[in-house]
Amino acid sequence: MLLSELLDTAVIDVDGERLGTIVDVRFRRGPRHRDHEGDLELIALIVSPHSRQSMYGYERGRVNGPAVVARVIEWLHRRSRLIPWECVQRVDDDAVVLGVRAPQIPLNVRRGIPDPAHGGTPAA
Amino acid sequence: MRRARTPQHPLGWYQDPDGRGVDARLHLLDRQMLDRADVPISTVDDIEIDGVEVGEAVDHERPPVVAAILVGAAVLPRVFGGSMPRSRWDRIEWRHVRRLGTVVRIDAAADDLDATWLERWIRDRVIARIPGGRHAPE
Repeated sequence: MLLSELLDTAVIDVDGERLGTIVDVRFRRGPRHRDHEGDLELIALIVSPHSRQSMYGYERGRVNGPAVVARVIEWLHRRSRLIPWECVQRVDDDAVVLGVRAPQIPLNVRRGIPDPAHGGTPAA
Repeated sequence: MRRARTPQHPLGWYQDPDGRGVDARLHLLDRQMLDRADVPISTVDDIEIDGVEVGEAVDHERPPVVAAILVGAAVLPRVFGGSMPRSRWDRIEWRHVRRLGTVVRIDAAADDLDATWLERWIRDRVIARIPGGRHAPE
């Protein structure tokens, strides 16, 4: 399939609830094959409940200026999250359907991952 | 900036703590591609993903990987919607990619790639027939 068929597609949770749209797709670089780039393996979908626009790199928590732009993009993409590819059951024409309830993984690497066993508070 | 190499939480790998993650829209789409001699080929218009098909259940035994970069008319569905028939895809196989950085370096000569046929056709059939079109500007 094509990447453009995944981008801007809705993500539907196990119970039929709409989690948002796919604004980006995360691959992981494999080891290099001698002088060629390694394989890119699809690992996660970046899903935003409010906006379809790109995050321009601000989502990773490593870029934070200009502060006004960072704040606006953070607000547009509030409650955005990473959905591991392992949770996806089926890719349809108009939606990606999850087979397992996805864990809450915030995009920002500085934010901890909430631990469901401790009432949703971030792990230390 | 120092980066944590190993995340504290196992799910932290998805947050890309070691910088080996590649976000499609951020790091791939619309990047310039250069051939062996640094001649511009095109930009990345779309990506073909192998191992997942629309309407089929996802096979988790075989994780999806990037199979090819699509160029040329592949950009039209991104702009206008719809889909392009497979026969019209101009592909550059991922195994030809030498390095993915601020530009995508391809291990091939631009003129040998099928993906640049339209550019060559316009150069030979249109530009070359305009007076002065066969040499570099002076």
